[in-house]
Amino acid sequence: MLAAVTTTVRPLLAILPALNEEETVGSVVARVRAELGIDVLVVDDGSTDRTAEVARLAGAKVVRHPFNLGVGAALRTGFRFAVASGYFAAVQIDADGQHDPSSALLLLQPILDGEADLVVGSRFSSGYEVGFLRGRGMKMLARLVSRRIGVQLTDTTSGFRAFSRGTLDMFARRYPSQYLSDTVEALLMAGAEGLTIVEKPAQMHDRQGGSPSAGSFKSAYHFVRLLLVIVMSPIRQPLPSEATR
Amino acid sequence: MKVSVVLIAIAVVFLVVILEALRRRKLSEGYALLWISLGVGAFVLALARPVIDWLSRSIGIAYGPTLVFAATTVALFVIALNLTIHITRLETRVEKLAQEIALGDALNGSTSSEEAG
Repeated sequence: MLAAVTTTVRPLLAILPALNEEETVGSVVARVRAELGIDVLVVDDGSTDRTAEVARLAGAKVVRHPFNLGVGAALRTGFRFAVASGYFAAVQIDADGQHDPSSALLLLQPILDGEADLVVGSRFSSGYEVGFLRGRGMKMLARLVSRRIGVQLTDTTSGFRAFSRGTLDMFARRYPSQYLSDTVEALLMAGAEGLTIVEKPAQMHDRQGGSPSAGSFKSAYHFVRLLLVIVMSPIRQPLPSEATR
Repeated sequence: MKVSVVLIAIAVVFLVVILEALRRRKLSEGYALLWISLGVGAFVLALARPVIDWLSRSIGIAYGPTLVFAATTVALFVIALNLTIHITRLETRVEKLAQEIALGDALNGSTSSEEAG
Protein backbone atom coordinates (compact mmCIF):
# COMPACT_ATOMS: atom_id res chain seq x y z
CA MET A 1 0.00 0.00 0.00
CA LEU A 2 1.07 3.51 -0.75
CA ALA A 3 0.53 4.66 2.82
CA ALA A 4 2.70 1.86 4.16
CA VAL A 5 5.61 3.11 2.03
CA THR A 6 5.22 6.73 3.03
CA THR A 7 4.94 6.09 6.77
CA THR A 8 8.57 5.04 7.07
CA VAL A 9 9.69 8.45 5.86
CA ARG A 10 6.80 10.47 7.22
CA PRO A 11 5.64 8.78 10.43
CA LEU A 12 1.90 8.90 11.10
CA LEU A 13 0.07 8.62 14.39
CA ALA A 14 -3.44 7.54 15.30
CA ILE A 15 -4.71 9.37 18.37
CA LEU A 16 -7.44 7.58 20.34
CA PRO A 17 -8.96 9.55 23.20
CA ALA A 18 -10.50 6.98 25.55
CA LEU A 19 -12.64 7.09 28.66
CA ASN A 20 -13.65 3.73 30.14
CA GLU A 21 -13.47 1.85 26.86
CA GLU A 22 -11.85 -1.39 28.06
CA GLU A 23 -14.32 -3.48 26.04
CA THR A 24 -13.45 -1.95 22.68
CA VAL A 25 -10.10 -0.17 22.87
CA GLY A 26 -8.08 -3.37 22.44
CA SER A 27 -9.70 -4.40 19.17
CA VAL A 28 -9.66 -0.84 17.80
CA VAL A 29 -5.94 -0.50 18.53
CA ALA A 30 -5.25 -3.90 16.96
CA ARG A 31 -7.28 -3.08 13.85
CA VAL A 32 -5.65 0.33 13.35
CA ARG A 33 -2.20 -1.20 13.69
CA ALA A 34 -3.01 -4.06 11.34
CA GLU A 35 -4.92 -2.13 8.68
CA LEU A 36 -3.00 1.16 8.68
CA GLY A 37 0.40 0.05 9.93
CA ILE A 38 0.87 3.26 11.91
CA ASP A 39 1.67 4.05 15.53
CA VAL A 40 -1.25 4.32 17.93
CA LEU A 41 -1.46 6.62 20.93
CA VAL A 42 -4.26 6.04 23.41
CA VAL A 43 -4.92 9.04 25.63
CA ASP A 44 -6.62 7.59 28.67
CA ASP A 45 -8.69 10.47 30.02
CA GLY A 46 -8.89 9.31 33.63
CA SER A 47 -10.58 5.96 33.09
CA THR A 48 -11.62 3.96 36.13
CA ASP A 49 -11.45 0.65 34.26
CA ARG A 50 -8.59 -1.23 32.56
CA THR A 51 -8.56 0.94 29.41
CA ALA A 52 -4.86 1.88 29.69
CA GLU A 53 -3.74 -1.69 30.41
CA VAL A 54 -5.79 -3.18 27.56
CA ALA A 55 -4.51 -0.53 25.16
CA ARG A 56 -0.90 -1.16 26.13
CA LEU A 57 -1.32 -4.92 25.71
CA ALA A 58 -2.75 -4.31 22.22
CA GLY A 59 0.44 -2.48 21.30
CA ALA A 60 -0.51 1.17 21.75
CA LYS A 61 1.52 3.90 23.36
CA VAL A 62 -0.48 5.12 26.32
CA VAL A 63 -0.59 8.41 28.19
CA ARG A 64 -2.91 8.83 31.15
CA HIS A 65 -4.61 11.84 32.63
CA PRO A 66 -4.68 11.60 36.43
CA PHE A 67 -8.36 12.56 36.28
CA ASN A 68 -11.03 13.17 33.66
CA LEU A 69 -10.44 16.37 31.68
CA GLY A 70 -12.68 15.90 28.65
CA VAL A 71 -12.12 14.91 25.03
CA GLY A 72 -10.69 18.30 24.01
CA ALA A 73 -7.98 18.14 26.66
CA ALA A 74 -7.25 14.50 25.80
CA LEU A 75 -6.81 15.46 22.15
CA ARG A 76 -4.50 18.31 22.99
CA THR A 77 -2.38 15.90 25.02
CA GLY A 78 -2.30 13.72 21.90
CA PHE A 79 -1.35 16.66 19.67
CA ARG A 80 1.45 17.65 22.02
CA PHE A 81 2.73 14.08 22.00
CA ALA A 82 2.59 14.00 18.19
CA VAL A 83 4.49 17.28 17.83
CA ALA A 84 7.09 16.41 20.47
CA SER A 85 7.67 12.99 18.86
CA GLY A 86 8.01 14.45 15.37
CA TYR A 87 5.04 12.83 13.63
CA PHE A 88 4.23 14.11 10.15
CA ALA A 89 0.46 13.88 10.49
CA ALA A 90 -2.14 12.35 12.78
CA VAL A 91 -5.62 10.93 12.61
CA GLN A 92 -8.10 11.04 15.47
CA ILE A 93 -10.14 7.87 15.92
CA ASP A 94 -12.78 6.99 18.52
CA ALA A 95 -11.81 4.21 20.89
CA ASP A 96 -15.36 2.87 21.02
CA GLY A 97 -15.21 1.28 17.58
CA GLN A 98 -17.58 3.72 15.83
CA HIS A 99 -14.98 4.78 13.29
CA ASP A 100 -13.86 2.39 10.59
CA PRO A 101 -10.04 2.25 10.55
CA SER A 102 -10.04 1.73 6.77
CA SER A 103 -11.69 5.16 6.39
CA ALA A 104 -8.81 6.70 8.33
CA LEU A 105 -6.59 6.21 5.27
CA LEU A 106 -9.03 8.23 3.16
CA LEU A 107 -8.83 11.04 5.72
CA LEU A 108 -5.03 11.00 5.80
CA GLN A 109 -4.61 10.92 2.02
CA PRO A 110 -5.40 14.63 1.29
CA ILE A 111 -2.87 15.57 3.97
CA LEU A 112 -0.17 13.28 2.58
CA ASP A 113 -0.90 14.80 -0.84
CA GLY A 114 -0.47 18.28 0.61
CA GLU A 115 -4.03 19.24 -0.33
CA ALA A 116 -5.44 19.81 3.15
CA ASP A 117 -4.47 20.81 6.68
CA LEU A 118 -7.53 19.43 8.40
CA VAL A 119 -9.75 16.63 7.09
CA VAL A 120 -13.12 15.94 8.68
CA GLY A 121 -14.76 12.54 8.22
CA SER A 122 -18.48 13.07 7.67
CA ARG A 123 -20.86 10.46 9.01
CA PHE A 124 -23.81 11.68 6.98
CA SER A 125 -22.43 10.95 3.54
CA SER A 126 -22.37 7.29 4.55
CA GLY A 127 -25.95 7.13 5.75
CA TYR A 128 -25.42 7.73 9.46
CA GLU A 129 -28.80 8.30 11.07
CA VAL A 130 -29.66 10.34 14.13
CA GLY A 131 -32.91 11.34 15.81
CA PHE A 132 -34.95 14.20 14.38
CA LEU A 133 -34.04 16.91 16.92
CA ARG A 134 -30.39 15.92 17.06
CA GLY A 135 -30.31 15.85 13.26
CA ARG A 136 -31.83 19.34 13.01
CA GLY A 137 -29.34 20.63 15.56
CA MET A 138 -26.36 19.12 13.78
CA LYS A 139 -27.56 20.55 10.43
CA MET A 140 -27.92 24.00 11.93
CA LEU A 141 -24.44 23.85 13.47
CA ALA A 142 -23.05 22.69 10.13
CA ARG A 143 -24.73 25.56 8.28
CA LEU A 144 -23.49 28.20 10.73
CA VAL A 145 -19.93 26.90 10.83
CA SER A 146 -19.80 26.43 7.04
CA ARG A 147 -20.87 30.02 6.50
CA ARG A 148 -18.32 31.31 8.97
CA ILE A 149 -15.31 29.45 7.60
CA GLY A 150 -16.38 29.44 3.96
CA VAL A 151 -16.18 25.68 3.48
CA GLN A 152 -19.22 23.50 2.96
CA LEU A 153 -19.37 20.97 5.81
CA THR A 154 -22.13 18.52 6.72
CA ASP A 155 -20.79 17.08 9.98
CA THR A 156 -19.16 19.61 12.30
CA THR A 157 -19.29 17.48 15.44
CA SER A 158 -17.51 14.51 13.91
CA GLY A 159 -14.57 13.29 15.97
CA PHE A 160 -13.06 11.42 13.01
CA ARG A 161 -10.41 13.80 11.71
CA ALA A 162 -6.93 14.00 10.27
CA PHE A 163 -4.40 16.74 10.97
CA SER A 164 -1.35 17.99 9.10
CA ARG A 165 1.89 18.78 10.91
CA GLY A 166 1.09 22.51 10.82
CA THR A 167 -2.38 21.92 12.27
CA LEU A 168 -0.91 19.70 14.98
CA ASP A 169 1.55 22.50 15.82
CA MET A 170 -1.25 25.01 16.23
CA PHE A 171 -3.59 22.70 18.13
CA ALA A 172 -0.77 21.56 20.43
CA ARG A 173 -0.48 25.17 21.57
CA ARG A 174 -4.14 25.95 21.94
CA TYR A 175 -7.18 23.75 21.68
CA PRO A 176 -10.70 24.23 23.06
CA SER A 177 -11.26 21.84 25.95
CA GLN A 178 -14.97 22.42 26.65
CA TYR A 179 -17.21 19.49 25.72
CA LEU A 180 -17.96 19.47 21.95
CA SER A 181 -15.99 22.70 21.52
CA ASP A 182 -13.12 20.45 20.49
CA THR A 183 -15.11 19.74 17.35
CA VAL A 184 -17.01 22.93 16.46
CA GLU A 185 -14.73 25.61 17.90
CA ALA A 186 -11.63 23.85 16.56
CA LEU A 187 -13.08 24.21 13.05
CA LEU A 188 -13.66 27.93 13.61
CA MET A 189 -10.08 28.29 14.87
CA ALA A 190 -8.68 26.41 11.87
CA GLY A 191 -10.81 28.56 9.55
CA ALA A 192 -9.62 31.77 11.19
CA GLU A 193 -6.01 30.63 10.80
CA GLY A 194 -6.58 30.15 7.08
CA LEU A 195 -5.97 26.39 7.17
CA THR A 196 -7.39 24.31 4.34
CA ILE A 197 -10.31 22.28 5.66
CA VAL A 198 -11.69 19.37 3.66
CA GLU A 199 -14.59 17.02 4.39
CA LYS A 200 -14.55 13.37 3.31
CA PRO A 201 -17.19 10.68 3.68
CA ALA A 202 -16.33 8.27 6.51
CA GLN A 203 -17.73 4.90 7.42
CA MET A 204 -19.47 4.77 10.81
CA HIS A 205 -20.58 1.81 12.86
CA ASP A 206 -22.85 1.62 15.84
CA ARG A 207 -20.85 1.83 19.02
CA GLN A 208 -19.62 -1.59 20.15
CA GLY A 209 -19.55 -0.74 23.82
CA GLY A 210 -19.59 2.05 26.37
CA SER A 211 -22.37 4.62 26.58
CA PRO A 212 -23.19 7.71 24.52
CA SER A 213 -21.58 10.88 25.79
CA ALA A 214 -24.70 12.88 26.65
CA GLY A 215 -28.46 12.59 27.21
CA SER A 216 -30.99 14.81 25.50
CA PHE A 217 -31.21 17.53 28.16
CA LYS A 218 -27.46 17.85 28.27
CA SER A 219 -27.32 17.82 24.48
CA ALA A 220 -29.77 20.73 24.35
CA TYR A 221 -27.65 22.68 26.83
CA HIS A 222 -24.46 22.01 24.87
CA PHE A 223 -26.22 22.96 21.64
CA VAL A 224 -27.14 26.37 23.08
CA ARG A 225 -23.60 26.73 24.41
CA LEU A 226 -22.16 25.98 20.97
CA LEU A 227 -24.48 28.57 19.39
CA LEU A 228 -23.06 31.08 21.87
CA VAL A 229 -19.53 30.04 20.89
CA ILE A 230 -20.28 30.43 17.17
CA VAL A 231 -22.04 33.77 17.57
CA MET A 232 -19.26 35.18 19.74
CA SER A 233 -16.37 33.76 17.69
CA PRO A 234 -15.77 36.76 15.36
CA ILE A 235 -15.30 39.21 18.24
CA ARG A 236 -13.78 36.88 20.80
CA GLN A 237 -10.13 37.00 21.71
CA PRO A 238 -8.33 33.89 20.48
CA LEU A 239 -7.49 31.17 22.99
CA PRO A 240 -4.13 31.98 24.57
CA SER A 241 -1.32 30.17 22.80
CA GLU A 242 0.80 28.16 25.21
CA ALA A 243 4.34 26.95 24.79
CA THR A 244 4.82 23.26 24.25
CA ARG A 245 7.78 21.22 25.28
CA MET B 1 -42.27 53.50 36.02
CA LYS B 2 -38.91 54.81 37.17
CA VAL B 3 -37.95 51.72 39.12
CA SER B 4 -38.41 49.62 35.99
CA VAL B 5 -36.03 51.84 34.06
CA VAL B 6 -33.37 51.49 36.74
CA LEU B 7 -33.83 47.69 36.90
CA ILE B 8 -33.62 47.40 33.13
CA ALA B 9 -30.46 49.50 33.10
CA ILE B 10 -28.90 47.25 35.74
CA ALA B 11 -29.84 44.11 33.79
CA VAL B 12 -28.37 45.53 30.58
CA VAL B 13 -25.09 46.53 32.29
CA PHE B 14 -24.98 43.04 33.83
CA LEU B 15 -25.35 41.42 30.39
CA VAL B 16 -22.69 43.66 28.85
CA VAL B 17 -20.22 42.82 31.63
CA ILE B 18 -20.86 39.08 31.14
CA LEU B 19 -20.43 39.25 27.36
CA GLU B 20 -17.23 41.28 27.74
CA ALA B 21 -15.81 38.71 30.20
CA LEU B 22 -16.78 35.98 27.72
CA ARG B 23 -15.13 37.89 24.86
CA ARG B 24 -11.90 38.22 26.81
CA ARG B 25 -12.08 34.53 27.73
CA LYS B 26 -12.13 35.33 31.42
CA LEU B 27 -15.35 33.35 31.67
CA SER B 28 -16.16 29.97 30.11
CA GLU B 29 -19.27 29.67 27.93
CA GLY B 30 -20.99 27.42 30.45
CA TYR B 31 -20.83 29.93 33.29
CA ALA B 32 -21.59 32.77 30.88
CA LEU B 33 -24.77 30.96 29.87
CA LEU B 34 -25.81 30.64 33.51
CA TRP B 35 -25.31 34.35 34.17
CA ILE B 36 -26.90 35.39 30.88
CA SER B 37 -30.05 33.44 31.68
CA LEU B 38 -30.14 35.03 35.14
CA GLY B 39 -29.64 38.45 33.54
CA VAL B 40 -32.44 37.85 31.07
CA GLY B 41 -34.60 36.61 33.94
CA ALA B 42 -33.93 39.82 35.86
CA PHE B 43 -34.75 41.81 32.72
CA VAL B 44 -38.09 40.06 32.34
CA LEU B 45 -38.93 40.47 36.04
CA ALA B 46 -38.10 44.17 35.79
CA LEU B 47 -40.68 44.55 33.04
CA ALA B 48 -43.38 42.15 34.16
CA ARG B 49 -44.62 43.35 37.50
CA PRO B 50 -48.18 42.05 36.80
CA VAL B 51 -46.76 38.59 36.16
CA ILE B 52 -44.92 38.68 39.50
CA ASP B 53 -48.03 39.82 41.35
CA TRP B 54 -50.15 37.14 39.73
CA LEU B 55 -47.56 34.46 40.45
CA SER B 56 -47.14 35.49 44.10
CA ARG B 57 -50.89 35.65 44.70
CA SER B 58 -51.36 32.21 43.17
CA ILE B 59 -48.88 30.68 45.64
CA GLY B 60 -50.13 32.71 48.59
CA ILE B 61 -47.59 35.52 48.86
CA ALA B 62 -49.30 38.84 49.53
CA TYR B 63 -46.53 41.21 48.43
CA GLY B 64 -45.07 40.39 44.98
CA PRO B 65 -41.49 41.62 45.42
CA THR B 66 -41.06 39.21 48.34
CA LEU B 67 -41.25 36.39 45.80
CA VAL B 68 -38.47 38.02 43.77
CA PHE B 69 -36.27 38.33 46.86
CA ALA B 70 -36.96 34.74 47.85
CA ALA B 71 -36.23 33.44 44.35
CA THR B 72 -33.02 35.48 44.16
CA THR B 73 -31.85 34.18 47.53
CA VAL B 74 -32.49 30.59 46.53
CA ALA B 75 -30.72 31.05 43.17
CA LEU B 76 -27.66 32.65 44.79
CA PHE B 77 -27.59 29.91 47.43
CA VAL B 78 -27.63 27.20 44.76
CA ILE B 79 -24.86 28.93 42.78
CA ALA B 80 -22.71 29.43 45.89
CA LEU B 81 -23.14 25.78 46.89
CA ASN B 82 -22.26 24.71 43.38
CA LEU B 83 -19.11 26.82 43.38
CA THR B 84 -17.91 25.42 46.70
CA ILE B 85 -18.45 21.91 45.35
CA HIS B 86 -16.39 22.83 42.30
CA ILE B 87 -13.67 24.33 44.49
CA THR B 88 -13.55 21.18 46.59
CA ARG B 89 -13.06 19.12 43.44
CA LEU B 90 -10.32 21.47 42.24
CA GLU B 91 -8.53 21.20 45.59
CA THR B 92 -8.64 17.40 45.37
CA ARG B 93 -7.28 17.52 41.84
CA VAL B 94 -4.49 19.99 42.62
CA GLU B 95 -3.35 17.79 45.49
CA LYS B 96 -3.41 14.69 43.32
CA LEU B 97 -1.60 16.50 40.50
CA ALA B 98 1.14 17.80 42.80
CA GLN B 99 1.62 14.32 44.23
CA GLU B 100 1.83 12.71 40.80
CA ILE B 101 4.44 15.23 39.69
CA ALA B 102 6.39 14.86 42.94
CA LEU B 103 6.41 11.09 42.69
CA GLY B 104 7.26 11.37 39.00
CA ASP B 105 8.41 8.34 37.08
CA ALA B 106 8.36 6.06 40.10
CA LEU B 107 4.60 5.73 39.82
CA ASN B 108 4.14 6.41 36.12
CA GLY B 109 1.59 4.10 34.55
CA SER B 110 0.63 2.37 37.75
CA THR B 111 -1.44 5.05 39.40
CA SER B 112 -5.15 4.59 39.82
CA SER B 113 -7.65 7.11 38.56
CA GLU B 114 -10.05 9.39 40.31
CA GLU B 115 -13.78 9.23 39.71
CA ALA B 116 -14.61 9.86 36.07
CA GLY B 117 -16.78 12.88 36.70
